[in-house]
Amino acid sequence: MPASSELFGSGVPRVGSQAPSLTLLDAAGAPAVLSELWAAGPLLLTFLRHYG
Amino acid sequence: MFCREWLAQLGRHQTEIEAAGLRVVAVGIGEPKHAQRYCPQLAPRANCVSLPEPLAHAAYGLTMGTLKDLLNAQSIKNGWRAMRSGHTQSLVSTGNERQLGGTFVVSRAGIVEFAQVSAVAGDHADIPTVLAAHRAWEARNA
Repeated sequence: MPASSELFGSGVPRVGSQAPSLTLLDAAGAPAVLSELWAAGPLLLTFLRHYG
Repeated sequence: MFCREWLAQLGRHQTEIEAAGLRVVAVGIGEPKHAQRYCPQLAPRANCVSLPEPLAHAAYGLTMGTLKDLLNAQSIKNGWRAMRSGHTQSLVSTGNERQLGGTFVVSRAGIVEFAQVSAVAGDHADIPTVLAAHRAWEARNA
């Protein structure tokens, strides 16, 4: 089984690189722009497989 | 089950995470109503955001796992761990079971401080390691 670090493909932002910003929806259905969220302070940004 | 287990871990460590100066943003595949179903009870102070398609996951290079990634000794062990802690698979779930997750720390300037990509289903980041990486980054960039 590969270690996590070996899974880093070209699409995974590397440490020290700019993180991609996207517009998502918050729990109330309002737009949530990642760059606006991190501009307010550093984020622990985690990606879930799904909600369920 | 793994997303609920991970959210619950983040919820339990929320005070430490916030003390380190971080805010939790959890990105899920689904609709806002799906985030509302889980986040308030598992990680009440996390900002849970969503998209119906895995576009954000793809933007961060997070891929769909193969059958081997999902059904191997480690993922089965992870599933057993999640079930023992009370996080079973919901009958109603969103997204794609094959989607692998990941965790990043992003600075105020939008720079990636830490990156972890799940190797198999249920392969979560280690929270003390995440916080240590953030503290080291802050110390280097003070």
